Amino acid sequence: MSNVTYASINDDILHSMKPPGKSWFASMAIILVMLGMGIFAFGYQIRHGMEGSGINNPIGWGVYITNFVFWVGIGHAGTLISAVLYLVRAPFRTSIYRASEAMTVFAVMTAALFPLIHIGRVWNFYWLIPYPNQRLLWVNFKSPLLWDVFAVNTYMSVSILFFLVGLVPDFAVVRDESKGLKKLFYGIASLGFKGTNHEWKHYMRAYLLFAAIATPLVFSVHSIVSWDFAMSSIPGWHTTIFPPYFVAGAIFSGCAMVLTLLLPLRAIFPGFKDIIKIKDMEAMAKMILFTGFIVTYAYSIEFFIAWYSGARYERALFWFRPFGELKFFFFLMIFCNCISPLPLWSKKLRTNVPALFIVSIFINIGMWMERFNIVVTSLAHDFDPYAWGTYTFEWVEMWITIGSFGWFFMWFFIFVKIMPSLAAAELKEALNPPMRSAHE
Amino acid sequence: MTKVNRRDFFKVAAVSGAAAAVAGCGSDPVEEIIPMLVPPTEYKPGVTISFASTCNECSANCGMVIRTREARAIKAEGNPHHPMSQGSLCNQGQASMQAMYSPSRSKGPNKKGAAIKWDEGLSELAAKMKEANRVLYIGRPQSGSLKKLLAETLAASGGGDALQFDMMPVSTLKKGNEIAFGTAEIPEYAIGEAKTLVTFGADILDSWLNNQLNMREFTRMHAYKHGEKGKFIHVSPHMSLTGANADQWVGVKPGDEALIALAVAGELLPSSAMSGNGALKSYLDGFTTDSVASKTGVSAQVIKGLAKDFNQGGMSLAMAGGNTAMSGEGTKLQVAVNLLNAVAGNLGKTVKFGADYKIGGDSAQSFADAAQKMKSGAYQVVLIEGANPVYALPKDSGFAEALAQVPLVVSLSTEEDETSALAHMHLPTSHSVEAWGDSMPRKGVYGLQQPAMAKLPGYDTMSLGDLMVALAGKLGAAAPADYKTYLMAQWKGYQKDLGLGGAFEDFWKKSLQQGGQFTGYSSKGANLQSGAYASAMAPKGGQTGLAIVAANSPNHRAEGTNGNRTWLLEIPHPITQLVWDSWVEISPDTAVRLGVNHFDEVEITTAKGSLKAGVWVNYGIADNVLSMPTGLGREVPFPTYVSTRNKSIFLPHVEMSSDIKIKPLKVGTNVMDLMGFDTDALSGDLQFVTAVSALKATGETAYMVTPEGQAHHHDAAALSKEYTKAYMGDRSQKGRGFAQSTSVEAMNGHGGHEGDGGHHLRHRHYTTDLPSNTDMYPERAADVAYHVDWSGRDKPVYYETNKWEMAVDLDRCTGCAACVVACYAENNVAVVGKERMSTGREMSWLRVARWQDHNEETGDLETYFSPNMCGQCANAGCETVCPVYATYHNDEGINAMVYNRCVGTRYCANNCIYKQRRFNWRTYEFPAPLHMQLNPAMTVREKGVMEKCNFCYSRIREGKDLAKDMGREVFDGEIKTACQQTCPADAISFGNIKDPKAKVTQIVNTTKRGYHQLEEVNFKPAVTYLKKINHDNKKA
Repeated sequence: MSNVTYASINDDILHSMKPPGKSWFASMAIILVMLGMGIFAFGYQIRHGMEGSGINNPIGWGVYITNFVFWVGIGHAGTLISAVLYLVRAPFRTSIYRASEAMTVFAVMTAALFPLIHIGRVWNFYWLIPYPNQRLLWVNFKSPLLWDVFAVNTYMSVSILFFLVGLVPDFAVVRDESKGLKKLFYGIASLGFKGTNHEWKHYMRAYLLFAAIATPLVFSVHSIVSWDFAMSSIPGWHTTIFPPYFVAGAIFSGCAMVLTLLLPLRAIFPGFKDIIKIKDMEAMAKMILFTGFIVTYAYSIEFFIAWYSGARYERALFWFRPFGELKFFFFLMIFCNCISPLPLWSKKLRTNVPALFIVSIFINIGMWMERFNIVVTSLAHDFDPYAWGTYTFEWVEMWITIGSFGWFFMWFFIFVKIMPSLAAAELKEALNPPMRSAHE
Repeated sequence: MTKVNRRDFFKVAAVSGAAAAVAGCGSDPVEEIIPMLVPPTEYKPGVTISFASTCNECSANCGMVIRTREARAIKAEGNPHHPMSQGSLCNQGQASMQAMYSPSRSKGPNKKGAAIKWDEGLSELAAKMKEANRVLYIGRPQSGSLKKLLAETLAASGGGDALQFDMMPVSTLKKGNEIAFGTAEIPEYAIGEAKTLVTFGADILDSWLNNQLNMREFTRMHAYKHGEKGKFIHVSPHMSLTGANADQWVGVKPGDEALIALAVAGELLPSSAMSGNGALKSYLDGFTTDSVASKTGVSAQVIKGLAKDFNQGGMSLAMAGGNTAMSGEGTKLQVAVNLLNAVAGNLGKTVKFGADYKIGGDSAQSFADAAQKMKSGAYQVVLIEGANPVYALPKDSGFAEALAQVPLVVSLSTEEDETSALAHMHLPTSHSVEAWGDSMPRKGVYGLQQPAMAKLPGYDTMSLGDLMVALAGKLGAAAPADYKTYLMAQWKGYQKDLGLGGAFEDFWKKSLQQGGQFTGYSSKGANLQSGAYASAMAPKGGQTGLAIVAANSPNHRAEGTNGNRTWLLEIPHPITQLVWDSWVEISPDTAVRLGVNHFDEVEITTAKGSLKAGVWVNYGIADNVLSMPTGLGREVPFPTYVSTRNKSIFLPHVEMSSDIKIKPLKVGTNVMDLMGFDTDALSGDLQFVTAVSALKATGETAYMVTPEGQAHHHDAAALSKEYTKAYMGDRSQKGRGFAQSTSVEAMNGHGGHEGDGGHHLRHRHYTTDLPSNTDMYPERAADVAYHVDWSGRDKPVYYETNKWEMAVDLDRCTGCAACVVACYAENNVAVVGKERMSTGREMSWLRVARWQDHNEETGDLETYFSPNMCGQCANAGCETVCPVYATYHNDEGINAMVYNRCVGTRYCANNCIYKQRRFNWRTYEFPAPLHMQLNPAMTVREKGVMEKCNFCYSRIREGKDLAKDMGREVFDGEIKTACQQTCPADAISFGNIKDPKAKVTQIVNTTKRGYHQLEEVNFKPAVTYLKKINHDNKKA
């Protein structure tokens, strides 16, 4: 860390917040087109009903719920890194947590759209919220979907607050480095943080508190999401393994998404290379290896239990997944989630940026396929053979899925330009203090 | 001026205000808002008024009750007083509502599309009829007063011929009876009294004669009762729905049926009363069991078994007929079967003459003759009513060309069809629901048909009777004021015939109320004539080589008049479960031999033409025989929803509301394009079997659509060897016990085990529902009752006085799907079309699942049906998962659905183990005027809302309201669900399980063969199924 100073950290991080260049605008244009496609398709769906998506009888949930679980899962790694690793004082956390946490917030914001997008009458979505009304209509607290509403909302509020609290000292840095309106804006955002000992003492306490509040959410939110499935009666859904399986999967996919986002970020802003070290990326790769094994174990234990229980419907389903007409998605999932992370055992590949990036993309695809397999194949092949069905994708759901990526990256691109994408204050903590001379 | 005080002022003001209000109400132009009936009748908003009438969809003329709401007909049901349908109505009869409100209905009189006035059209027609040498009238078969009026009208025009158009080959039956018994009559076949029924080609449950009467009688004979169950054997090239309900199906080549019948007769002759008849003996000696066995390929053992079963001392019955029997040997088959009945001693016992059934029309030959006369200029005017010969007759009949030679062709059809398109003038008649009429389907049955509603607004039509009266008047005959007057005059005569005294008004009123007058007839036997065993009657047997059969079904008729009813197209064909299409049924071995696979598209070529259709491989068809459904290939007006089929998933396929038009859509192909105009030499009926010269795969996969989920799952099926033949797939229940079976022997407590349809799961793996275990969770209602009790409240929450339950007897169910049509009609279920069916967007609330399971002992495939509807589960999965309580358990045990509260998460549908919930993927169109058929008691659902069967809750409400108005309790049987009401087999029982005397309670509590589907999942459904009962654990 010899060449990194307080000033160089400031410079590197603030460099990323310089007015956007041509490539940023070009990327943003593509992103907005994607988002526009999603908005158009959603508008079309509101007007015409759900038939633009592949969902049918008996497969009542398809790409939308897959996307929902996928995006919620993505979010988990960010909270894990920012809160859990904070509590356990993992050193590699510092350089990556800001961007991961931003990813969490945006992923949850994306995920939260899908329960609305997937319902048939979205204009009545507020009926899912228990609000006092004259007709004494109330919501059904027995329904796991309602638990979802609370879980996701809690998660979103806590993540946003935790994210903003972490940003306070860094906003103060930006404020100090800027003039005019910008100074005013960041002044308000930093809540007038001056960096006094007194402030730091309270700030650190508050941050610790939020980390402690956020930690259980890492486990609870995806457990509750898994209950959407586990609490039902359908073979392939009705399993007790789902909560740990889902949480491990969420962290698996989240870590992959962190790599997918940070590796390009590191390449785009050269100053970041010193801060986001390849060692930190390697730590992510190890997390992927570990959670990848949990996921692989979960897959195999599902098959074992289907055989061991002797339950005919369960057996038929787990026969259907690898051998039925949706087997492509199953084997794609197995390849991406169980096989593609294996090269990371080699340190050489683990520290190779292109290799890591490719593996992270595979895992992103694989985890989407995992959710698709759980949601769709279980419904396609349940109790009544006469009512079995199959799935074909339709344009509206594809466009909305594209739009959801547009929505996510739009926020991420804005984030990179208006917020310090690395945690300046915490990076400075890791340095030896008296090096202010380099600063003006 | 008198002083007006404050109080007086208010009094005056109040009175005048009320008067103004009353006057205001009274002055509303009511007549313009609500179409009044002719004759005017009661109009009660919100109340269903039913009218007894007669169905005119086919020539069987069953009794019908038309339910009306707000003076609109909304549903057709069977008339329980009528001796033939006895309260049920077939698929096509119920679809008369879609004929009444058909989008193809003609709007008014026109000349090639140019509107004219009625008077103008009739005057011109009358003038032309007067000028003409001879007039030809082609119409639906008429057995009532109209026949007489028609004759009078034609006579007034100076002479004419009337032909009755119907494709059912009954002339063959009449001819056969004439040869065998000396009387060309359609007798009564007392199926219900027979102990053994053998049908030779006669698809009695599909289309032969009156299929409602047949099903009623068949149930009486074949349903297990008091330890007995009749035996039914179907001998035919095509199993069809009829054979699927048989205990045994004997697949033969077309034309071989008669040989089998004679071999059986030969076996029976020694023990018969006719054994002394030497000529008969020597005739039958030509058809020994062994020779017939070697000729037909049906084993001698099977024939001997048939003979053994048929030997019931006069209480057996053989029937022949149907399309499959029309292979050129049709009349000979009838004669052979008549001979068999005579040898078995059935005449007068199960075959009763004297009834003189009026069903079917004139033979095809008479139409050929008529076409010839048209060509030669013998007819100057041709009137065509209610028939579509241009579509229905094979192309080489030359009918269309002959019609072109006629100077004036006038169509009197209700709808615009292929025939009316060729007419010079179209004078559209009203549908029978809007018109007066009568019919005499057999001796002693006087069916009356009354208008249940005023003429459809916006459609300028005239009832056929009134048109005839007006025409007769213009032709100068002494005509009554209108057809009703004419009809009443006829009925005055009937009153005399029936020997009923009293005022005519009372007689007329009573007839209207009960839909006619119904008495018996005196039956007589018949004697076999020697002509029946003359050598000329000896059947030659079928030809070898590939042949194709044009087969009818409960949804398809060769006349094609109901080929544009969207219900009949959307509701899966009972056997193939295919929708919106034509298909070719092929046996697995033949498919392998010809090198075609299940779902391949093939081109079939006969001497007369060729067409393309998809292959549907099925065990229920004889080798070397193909079968295609009749009545298809017509243009059906249907909304043009956006299509995304085979289109990119990354490009938008946008539907604007202006894109949706009601456009004619060709559905399937007309099998008659393959048929020549070959008629039976003896009877003149059209042959429905023809030789196929080539069948080859086009290399494409056919776009055939079925809601049957297993149809897609070839991969799993391919692992099991039996199913790989031609890739027909596995259509079994996978041992999941949806339709379970047992045997007569097991029911009677001896011999064999109680076959449980391979449903071993419950015994092997799950024990939660067994008495020795406690449920992990109590039933929801029990749980609530416990807490109500605990909290000291005095009133139970659930099932206080009512809990509605249903029992479905699979031993009675024939799988005809009449219940599904009733459900569509009652509950405003949307018709979604072929493409949406193919993507799993069907809306049907009730499905009759068809299963083909391997018999564990014989290894043969057997067909089972299970009508599946929402079980209104006591521990329903759907209720707990709905986040907004849009679906909830109501206090009467109904799993109620609040459409307005539904946000459309579809979680309930996912969590339903019976997969009975249907989501509105879009807002579906009801093409005008079909929207007028919608039942006002049921909400029409919009996009984004879940729906499902609710045990016809609107009918429950109606029954309870009526009982409340009359100050009494609802009595058992008063409330009938739509499916139950129309079931010709009485397979469905419905009622209040809290009432110990209710039929459903009795059944559920006393049956030895009740079970719940998927019982081990513990949803506790309110539908109890009763196992199918087979003889010796075997069926067809």
